[in-house]
Amino acid sequence: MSSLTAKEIASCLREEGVESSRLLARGSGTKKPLWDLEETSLVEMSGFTGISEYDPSEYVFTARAGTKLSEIEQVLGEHGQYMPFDPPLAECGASLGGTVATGLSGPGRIRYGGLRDFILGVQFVDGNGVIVKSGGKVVKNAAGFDLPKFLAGSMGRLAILLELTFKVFPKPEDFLTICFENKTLADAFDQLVLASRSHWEPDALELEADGRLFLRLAGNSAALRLRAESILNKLKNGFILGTDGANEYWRKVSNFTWNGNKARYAKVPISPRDLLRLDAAVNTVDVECRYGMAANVAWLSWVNDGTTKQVDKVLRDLELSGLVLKGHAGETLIGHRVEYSIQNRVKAVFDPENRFPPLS
Amino acid sequence: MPTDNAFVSLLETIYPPGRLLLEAGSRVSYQSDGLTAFAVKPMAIVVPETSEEVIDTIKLCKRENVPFVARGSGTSLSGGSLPVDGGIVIALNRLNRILALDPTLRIARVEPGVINLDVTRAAAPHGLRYAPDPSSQQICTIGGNLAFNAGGAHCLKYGMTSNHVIAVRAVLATGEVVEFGGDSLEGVGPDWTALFAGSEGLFGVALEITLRLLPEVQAFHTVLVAYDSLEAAGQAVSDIVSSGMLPGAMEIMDALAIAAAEAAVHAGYPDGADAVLIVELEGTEEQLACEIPLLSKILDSSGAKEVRVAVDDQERALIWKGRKSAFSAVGRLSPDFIVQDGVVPRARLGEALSEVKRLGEEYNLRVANVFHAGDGNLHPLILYEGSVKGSLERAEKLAGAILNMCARMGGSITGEHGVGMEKRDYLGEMFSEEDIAFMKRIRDAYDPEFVSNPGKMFPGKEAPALSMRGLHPLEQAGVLSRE
Repeated sequence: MSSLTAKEIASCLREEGVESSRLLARGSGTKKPLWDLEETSLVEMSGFTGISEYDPSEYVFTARAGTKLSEIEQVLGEHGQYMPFDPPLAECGASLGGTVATGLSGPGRIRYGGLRDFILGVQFVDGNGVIVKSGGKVVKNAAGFDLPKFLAGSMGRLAILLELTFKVFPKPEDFLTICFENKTLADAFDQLVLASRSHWEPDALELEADGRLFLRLAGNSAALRLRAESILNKLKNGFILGTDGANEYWRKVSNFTWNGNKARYAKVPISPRDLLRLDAAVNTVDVECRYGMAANVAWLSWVNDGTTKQVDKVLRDLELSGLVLKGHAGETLIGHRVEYSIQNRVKAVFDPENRFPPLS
Repeated sequence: MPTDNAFVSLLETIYPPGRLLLEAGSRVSYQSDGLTAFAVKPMAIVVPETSEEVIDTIKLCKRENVPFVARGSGTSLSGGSLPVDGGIVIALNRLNRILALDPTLRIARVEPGVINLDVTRAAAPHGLRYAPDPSSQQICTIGGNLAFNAGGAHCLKYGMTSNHVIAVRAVLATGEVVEFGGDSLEGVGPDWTALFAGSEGLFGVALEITLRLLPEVQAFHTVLVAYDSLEAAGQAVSDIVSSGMLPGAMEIMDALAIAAAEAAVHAGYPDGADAVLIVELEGTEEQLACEIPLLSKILDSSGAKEVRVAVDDQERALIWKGRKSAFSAVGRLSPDFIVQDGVVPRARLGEALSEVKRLGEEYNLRVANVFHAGDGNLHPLILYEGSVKGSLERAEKLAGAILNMCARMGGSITGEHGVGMEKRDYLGEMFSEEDIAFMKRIRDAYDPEFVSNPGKMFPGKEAPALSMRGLHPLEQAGVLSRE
């Protein structure tokens, strides 16, 4: 159970003598660039945990921000349910709040939607230390502004997330992964487009820079086998991955270990149209790259300190924005910075005294 | 605020006479939306044909402090597009171009006046569709869908409008033009597109909306099941949910709604049933082959009077026609009615329906029930006679009591119609004063002059005069239906 209360967390923002220091909430700390900022004190959320409400028949749970994804997945799993957007880093101990603040979804995002499509409600502390609630605790709700979705990806720079409510789905009986080996990334992309437009209902479509396409299906076991056979008749160079091989592949993708443990990893949202252009551009620098969510995101990874600047330039030239998830302090946002005229006014509503770091 | 005449002169610098409507007849046409109990005559209606005209209009409204309401087909059931006294209506129907449809990216970029169903029509030749399907989809526009985060029968599985919008180009109430989101499903930073969705026109007006398209579904399995009681139908839904299946839609109608639908469209719903349940499985043929026997088993042991499986597209369409016409059809049973929209936790549907029934008796009003059973979204239709003194007031009180019940059960005062004008006094049932004050400050950030659809969503301001009743003229003509 939780050793902290919401009121105690809210009081961090009202304590005297700390006005000068900026605050950021930290859950399990799996995404260092998000929390390790200069002159910023941490509000530790690891003591604010627990699933506060879960009724499997409602397809909805509410949990405190510090709750680990793995705990949630386990409890959901006991009732045959799951979070279809595949929140990454679950095995590494990532918390629900950190996942929301980062706006992070995994490969399963393409079938039913991402984190922003499954979040239903939020309770947060604003920069004044006031506890505010938005959204609801039922799967359908249109009352008031949709702050839960807005806060997905807000990096803890607008508010401290306290409690989060999510929609969940029944977990498919089985998963099956097909790997297609193509000579080039362009060939793999053509296959991806076909699969993405098909009625096969792929559960995940992930591209590797070497031309491999991983297509995951989810559903009833018997149905999956038949579906896979029909897909293999339509798309060339594919084979069904064994269970161990598939699990190993998806674990590397989810845990960001595909370029080793020490490397930096960044998320770069792209339009599938940007894929080949970006791939050509990153080939000029020392970066490993893979493309997830049917080529809606590029995951870049690099080891050397000096490379960060080069990646930043490549992304700026292509007007792409990136968020570094794993890596070093002070390297959160890279590439093109998007700023809206409305941004400062909305930030001032959440955080009039600038208690949290600036948005960009 | 300038005098009407002075402001009209300014509008004349943007619009030719044919697209600046001032005469009494036009002003009456725009005085109500789908919530016909409310009516406010606007000062004028402007009909822009370009984004620039919309932007110029909003800059003018801001400068002169004249309120505006953007409007598509006027199907809002919460009074969202009800004009503001002394303000203008920006009718967006001519901004109805599909600007781009990219089958490779599976996205469509559209103007706000594009009709919902036209997106799917344009996508269909590419094997794609636009998933959100409010019952009014033949006439309602994407701009209105976005502003009120419209739902439909498939929300449990596919989500609402905001789940299908990836970018918005909008003119804010300040006259600033912004572009939120992009051509990627993913983003970095807070989700500005999502915040704009469902903001009920309080932030500004969308000029271009980028929609995510989905591949067409390979196979459907649609079943119409008749029951002797609503409880039995509700229990069947619970059994389906706990089986692990994820149907595309689960809808229940009660006896009064069935009778109305039958009289209107002859969908062939079973005679004498107290409830019908529509269940639709959808997916790949292989997956359906596994799920159909499971569903049959559940339904066969659910105490059903009749289980009817649609054997072809025509039968499937007929089943849906009955359901989607239900609201307008109720107009045959009563001169006036209110469509209510609340959500309860799905497991409490039975309890909620008993309470709705009891409340109907208490207020001495008939209530027909249609609901999206999969997501606990109730649509009680409260029948009243506006010509009878006190009848509307009783109906509104009953509607309020139902909303109170939804909030009390931990649900929502609106599943998909939005708060608009109708439910603003009930926002406090779900949110604390601090929560509402916070949302108001967000509104102020977008609209410091308070000109963009003011008076909606938030409680407090006096309600406008109630002066119109009965079916919307488009409903009478059979082109508009409510959900």
